[in-house]
Formats: sequence, structure tokens, C-alpha cells
Amino acid sequence: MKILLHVENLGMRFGGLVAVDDVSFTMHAHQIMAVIGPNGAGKTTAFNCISGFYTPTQGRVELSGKCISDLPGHDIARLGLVRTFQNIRLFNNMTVTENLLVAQHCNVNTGLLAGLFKTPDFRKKEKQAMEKTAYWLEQVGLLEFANRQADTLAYGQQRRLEIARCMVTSPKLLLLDEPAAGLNPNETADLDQLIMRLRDDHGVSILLIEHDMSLVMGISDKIVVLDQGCNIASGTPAEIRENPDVIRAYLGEE
Amino acid sequence: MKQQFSDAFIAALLTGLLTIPIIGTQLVTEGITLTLAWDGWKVMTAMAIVFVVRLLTPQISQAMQGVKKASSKLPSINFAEHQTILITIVIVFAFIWPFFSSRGAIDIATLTLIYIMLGLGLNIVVGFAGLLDLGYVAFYAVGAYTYALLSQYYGLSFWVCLPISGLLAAIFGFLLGFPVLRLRGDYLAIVTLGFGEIIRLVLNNWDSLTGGPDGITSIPKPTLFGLEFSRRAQEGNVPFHEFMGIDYSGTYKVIFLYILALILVLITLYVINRLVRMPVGRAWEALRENEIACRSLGLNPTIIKLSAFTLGATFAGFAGAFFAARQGFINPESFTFIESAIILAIVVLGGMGSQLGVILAAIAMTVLPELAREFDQYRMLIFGLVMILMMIWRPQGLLPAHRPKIELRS
Amino acid sequence: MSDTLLQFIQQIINGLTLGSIYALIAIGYTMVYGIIGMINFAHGEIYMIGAYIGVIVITALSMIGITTVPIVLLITLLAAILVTSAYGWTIERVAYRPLRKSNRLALLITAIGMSIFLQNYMQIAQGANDVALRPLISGGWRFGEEEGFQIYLSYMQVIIAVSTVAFMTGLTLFIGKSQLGRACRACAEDQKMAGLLGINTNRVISLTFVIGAALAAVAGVLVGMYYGVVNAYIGFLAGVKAFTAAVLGGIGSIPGAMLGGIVLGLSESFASAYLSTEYKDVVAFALLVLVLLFRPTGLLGKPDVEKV
Repeated sequence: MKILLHVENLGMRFGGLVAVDDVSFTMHAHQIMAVIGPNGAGKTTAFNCISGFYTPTQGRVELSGKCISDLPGHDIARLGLVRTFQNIRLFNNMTVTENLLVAQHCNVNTGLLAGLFKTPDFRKKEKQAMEKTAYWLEQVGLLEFANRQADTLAYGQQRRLEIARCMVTSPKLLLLDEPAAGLNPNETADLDQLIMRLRDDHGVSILLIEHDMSLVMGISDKIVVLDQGCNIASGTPAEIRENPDVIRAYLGEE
Repeated sequence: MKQQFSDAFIAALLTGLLTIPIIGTQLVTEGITLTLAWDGWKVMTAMAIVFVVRLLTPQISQAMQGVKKASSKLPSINFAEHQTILITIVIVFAFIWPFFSSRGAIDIATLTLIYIMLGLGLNIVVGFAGLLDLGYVAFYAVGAYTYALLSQYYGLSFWVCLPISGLLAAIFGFLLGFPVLRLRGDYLAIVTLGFGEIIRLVLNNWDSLTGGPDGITSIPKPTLFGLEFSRRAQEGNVPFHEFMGIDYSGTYKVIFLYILALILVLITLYVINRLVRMPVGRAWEALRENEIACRSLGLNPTIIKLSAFTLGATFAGFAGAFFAARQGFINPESFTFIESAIILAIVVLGGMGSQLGVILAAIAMTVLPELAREFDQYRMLIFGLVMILMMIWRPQGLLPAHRPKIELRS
Repeated sequence: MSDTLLQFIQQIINGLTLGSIYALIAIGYTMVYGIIGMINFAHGEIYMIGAYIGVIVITALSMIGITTVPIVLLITLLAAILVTSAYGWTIERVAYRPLRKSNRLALLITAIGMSIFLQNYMQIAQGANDVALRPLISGGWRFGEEEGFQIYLSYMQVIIAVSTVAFMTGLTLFIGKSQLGRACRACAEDQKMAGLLGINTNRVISLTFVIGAALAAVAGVLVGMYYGVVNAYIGFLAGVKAFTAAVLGGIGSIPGAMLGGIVLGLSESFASAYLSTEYKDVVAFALLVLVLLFRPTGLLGKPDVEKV
């Protein structure tokens, strides 16, 4: 299987504080991988490094063999790596539809004259964008809210919207930062199904940060455990469950 | 009640402290000696006014609440159903009106149209893309001087220079914007202010090119297919009135300029209306909402901001060229920071992102001072006061933007 | 000592004098920005008011026969500080405090509006023309040979330098050692927390404006005496330049404002002498633009990381 994401000796320090310390792992295509660990372990910081929002102070990140560690976030997104955020970042005063249209900015005709004169190519691309929007809204079950303002949606719906917004960019790798946070068990089960569908039906690989162990254990192919910035274990869910270092990290010393 | 009395008393005393030196005394220069004249009455009046106002604060406050409630019910006007008819009527009226008006009124209307264009252009930068630009006047100056210089040195006509002015202003916008747009809010404002002043200072000091403080004169007016609007035309040209077989009248020139400005404004409005429905317009809004989310979706913030900045600059360039043509002469004095502040005020007070609001604010800004000519001395004072008061009472502007939302139809 | 060296030293003297003025005004910008994150556009006008008060009080004193320099200077400074601080306090209370919760743009517009208002207020009250003041303190020391270039160090320049050092020291001691000063620092760090800990943030913010206004008043009085001319529009240019100084040194940092002032003063002085006098204002604006582009945190500031 192809290697999709290769993280090597990733390190991030802020002045004297080392948030991520020599983290390495590899992800293959069509995998679902979870990054877990106690609070403050450096998971979101690692995400920020991988997705280009921080420039890592050390180490290397490769996406499909191409080095992306020094690229800014928007360039990395164009290469097929998109992410969601711990505190949902929607375009609150725009409608659900508009949120998804903005995400397809790179696929529509952004030419000034094309837009001013509504050329055939412009209209075709806009139509395609609308169709894709409708498709994905249906996939995540939000089609009925298409013209509602994004911040009027319920919390769980907003989370699904954020994922749909990522999916319209046709990504290769989707980074989800605590997608189940604040969801009730029903919603979490739905999310479970959605993530699997994304992997199975749409060929997207998923890397997620999560605290909800049932979700993590249930869908992950591989798990990486971080504690205080270091990678203390990695393996299948079964292996991680038994791993003494992991147990110690979560429950503390005897 | 006693509390209010003492509050009012203290406020009056404070007013006294503030006004005694500045308003109460007046520095009078006789020859080379400087003396002080004293006018206690002004101080007393000021103190009395403050005392009374402070005393009646609760009543005034209630009245203000009432006004606020009433004004918050003011449109976000939604003329949606009859929109096309209304707009057509307004446009037709705008074209016909000058033929029945006095020369002076048309002249003011033309000035208003220039400010409308500037306001609409800055609205793209400030209202849509959310970029604080305090140096917009620089692009206005570039447009004006481009036409003035090209016509002076190369004899190029207005029609040739108009697109060039816009293009050159756009280039300036791009060059200025490129390094600057990654700065956040306040800093961006100050940097743009700095650029605006640098350009004015250069225009003021580069005598050999720009004529320095004297500026450039004898800038030709635009012609209608070669027909000039003067009493006597230049060599080889035919004056308009001769061509039409009518007597000369200075009004024709004025009407022509007005119609020209009106057309420019209508084009501007069309372009802007298209822009907000295009991907770039959506990107501006998204960028304003959440820049980090934009980056995570592949949108390059700098390029998107640049597009707004450059487009805004282009409109200022067009306005500048027209301004130079209308005035016949320009100098750096027309392009000070105050101009940028006025245009910014038009955008903010009109309602950021709202075209209709900007138009109304521009009209208020140009027409009202004309109606109250006696208070000309107080014009800027009132202007500053209005800026302060609007931000306290109605920061969203006269007509807050009513953005057209793109709808998904099944 | 060659003539070029002497001229160089003269420029340093002039630059330091200018820099002291900028530093005094810059403090106001930096303290206000440090505590409420706002650029007080109207601060330049506060300085202008201070200058006018200076001229008015000196004139008033001379009209009633008080001309002894130290007394006049003392009374003028005190009066200017008193009135200008009152203006600073009132402006914050009336125009800025209601907007405390508003967005950046609203505050900026209000500040610009206040600046325009004050300029025209002064213009209507005192006239649009320059007001010339007969020098109260003239003369100075000369160094150098008779035939060559002579360095001129005026008494006024010494007074400006000494006053600046005195007030800066006073301010630093106040901020560093006094309880109120500690409160100021706490509010600048984390206003919400400071409020929760019992500090009256409104009062601290008012105090910040008052201190800034007081120092600007000193600068205004001294400038009026040094240049002998004031008008209603000196606030804009001085304000932008002082803001440049504040940013140059690191906005929010008091030592930064002092350092920035000196650097700007010296740069302007050298540019004026060795490049051209017409473009000396461009130096300040160019420096402003360059600093904001390449090192927005300034010389003494700390870069901040964006929280994603």
C-alpha cells in the first residue's frame, strides 16, 4: 500500500516550551489513524505542524512523498490535506451552501472578466460547484438546511458541515481535530458511520485526534499515542489497549 | 436628584477647566507682541450647556433609546420585489434631471458622483474584504496625476488616459498591497496611511515632474467623439455647440461631465454587484469571517486581499482621472489624509458593505455642507463630531449591508 | 576636531532633542495601545493642545508681569499638564469608553473623528494662523574655534533633554515601584484577570490616558518654547511620527517608546542634514512603513504566535 503521510522526527518548540518532541509515524492510503493522549500531549500542535499552520522547529512531513513541512497551510490544502478544528471554524454569517461554495474556490473559475461577463466556462464551473455542494450536503444529511445561516445549525450539525466543507475539496487526507467533542452517543455513532463511509466510498484517508475511546477503538486501523509531546506507543487498537505505557500515561503511576 | 446635581456640577467645572484656556482666552498677535483677550461669556455658556445636559441625562438617555429603537427598525431595506422597477426609475431620473436644473446644482451633483465612486471603491477594500485602508487617497492621486501628466507631456486624450489611470492605480495597489496585506487590522491602517502620505510628499516635492505644490494646470476636459465643450475649439476641432447648431452655453459642459460621471458610477455599481456574486466576492466575505478556516481550505489570504485592494485602487484611479479632467488643474493639496478620512467616513457611516448606504452617505457628505453654507467654518468640526457620534449610536452605519445570499435550489 | 565631525555632533544634539520630544509623545501611544489595544489617533491633538496651553499661560504670565524663567516654566508646565490631562481624561471617558466592547474599526473611526474635531475646535477657537511666541529662554553654549564650524547647544535643548530624562525616570519608577503602577502593568498584561482580582480597570485606563496626556503636554510646552511657533495642525505630523517611534521601539513597551523616539529623532536629523530637508518627513513615514513590514514588534518587542 502507498505511503500517504510520513512524519519524521517532528518537533515544535515555543521558546523554552517543547510541545512536540521527536514524533514519527507513517500513514498509508485508505487508512483511518487516530492520535490519542492526555490533554496537553501536543496532539493539536502536531496537527498544526502537519497541516501547515505552524512551521515545525524540527523534523519533516511528507505527503505522498512530497515534503510539505515548510509549506503554508493553504498550499498544503491544495495538495489534498485538509483539516477541521477543535473549536469549529465555520463562516458563521454565510449560509451552509455558501460555506461549501467557498471551499471549492480553487475549482471554480475565479477569473475577473469571466465572472463579470458570465462566460460559459464560468457558468459551467459554478453549476458543478453547486452540484457538488448538493451532493455532499446530502451525504452528511444537511440538505434541508442548505440555505440556512451556518451559525443557526445545532452543534452536531455544524460539525458535520465542517466535514462536508472539507470533502468538497476532494481531499486525499482529512485531519479531524476532536470531531466527536460535544456529541451525544447517537451523534457519535453517526459520526463513526460517516468516517467509515468517507474512507470506504470516497477513498479518503483519515487522521483524527479524539478522546472518545469507543469511537477510536471502533474505527481506527492504527493508533498513535502521544504524551507530553512524545510518541509513547503506536499499533493496532488491540495492542494499544494492553500497552502498559499507555495505561500509565492516562491513569498515572501506581 | 442630589447625585445628579453634583454630577452635573462637576461636569460643568470640568468643562470650565477645559474651555477657560482654549475658548475663554484668545491669543492676539499685534505686530510682534502676543497678548491674550478674554471672553468669559463663551466659557459660561459652555459650562451652562454641559450642566443642563448632564442634569437631564436620564431624560435624554430615554429619548435616545427611543430614537435607537426607531432607527434600528430602519431598513435593512428589502425592496426585492419591486427592485428592478425602482432602480430603472432612479436611473432614468438621474439622466434626465440635469436638463432641468441649474448649473450649480449639476456641478455639486458631479462632485457627489465622484465621492460615490470613491466610496464604492473603498467599500470593496473596507466593507467587503475588511481591510482598514487609510491611504486610499494615494490611488486617487495616481489616477489624477496620470491623466494630467500624460496629457501635458504626450497630449493624450481623456479617453485614452482613463483606462491607463485605472491600470496604473491598480499597479500601485498591487505593489503597495503585496508587502502590506499580511499585517493585522490597526497596523495595516497605519501603514496605508504612511504610504498615502509618502505619495503626497513625493508629489509635493518632485517639482520637475509633478510641478510640486503648484501642481499641474490646463488639463483638458474630455470630448464627445472629438467635439469640445468650449466656446472656441482648438485647432482642427469643432466645438459641440457649433456641431449641434445651437448657441454656446457653459451648461452643456457641465451636463456632459455629469452624464460622464453618472455612467462611470453605473459601471462601478454593475461591476461591484457582479463581484459579490462571484467566487472572489465569496472569498472576501469568508476571509473576513474566519481567515484560518480559509487557509485550511486552500484559499491564499494574501492573494484574495490583494484582489480587493487592487480593484479598489482601480476605481480610485478612474475617479482621479475624471477629477483632474473636471477641475482642469490639480495639486497635492487635494490628496491629503483628510480626503482618505472623508472617504472612509462615507463608507463606514453609510454602512460597510452596503452600496446604497455608501451612496446616501456620499450625498449627505457633499450636499449637506452646500445647503448650510453659513456654517462652512464648522463643516469639518461637525464632520468629526458626526464620526464620533455615529460610532457610539449607530456603528453599523445608516444602512447596514444586506448581502445577497446564494441559494441552493433542488 | 574637523568641521565634519563637529557638524556630525551638532546633528546628534539636534537629533536627541527632537528624539526626546518624540519619546514624550510616544509614551502616550504605547501605553494606551498596551492597555486597551487601541491606536489613539487623537493623541497628536492632545500634544497640540498642550502646546497651545503653554503659549497661552506664558503669555498670560507675561501680561501680569511674571517673567522669572524658572517660575514661568514651572507654572506653565503644571497648568499645561493639568488642562491637557483633563482633555485626555474627558476624551477617553466620553468617546472611547462607550466603545470599549466594539470592534477595532469603530474605535479607529472615533479616534480619527476626535482628531478632526479637536483640530477644528482649536482652529475655530484660536484661529487658523500660526501663533508666534517670543522665546522665553534663548542663548546657549558654543563649542569650537572662531573660524570653523561651531557646535551650538542651546539652553532650551538642555532643558528639553533634562525634562525628558526626569519625566521618563519618574514614569519608570512609578510603573515599576508603585502600587498603581503595578495595577497598570497588570491591566496591560491581562485586563480581565486584573479586573477579577479587584483592580478598578476603568480607573487604570483613565490613568493611562492621563499620564500619556501629561507627557504630551510637557512635549507641547517645550516645543512651543523651542520652535516659537504653534498652530492647530502640528498634532497630525508629530502624532504620526511619535507613533512611528512607539512602533519602532516596540508598541506597548515604555522603554521601547523612549528608544524609538531617540532613533527616530536621530534618523530625521541626519536625513535632514545629509539628504534633503524637504524629504525629512518622508524619512519618518518610510521608517514607519519599513518597521511595520519587517519587524512589526519593534526593537524591544516580542513576536507573538497565532493561536489556531
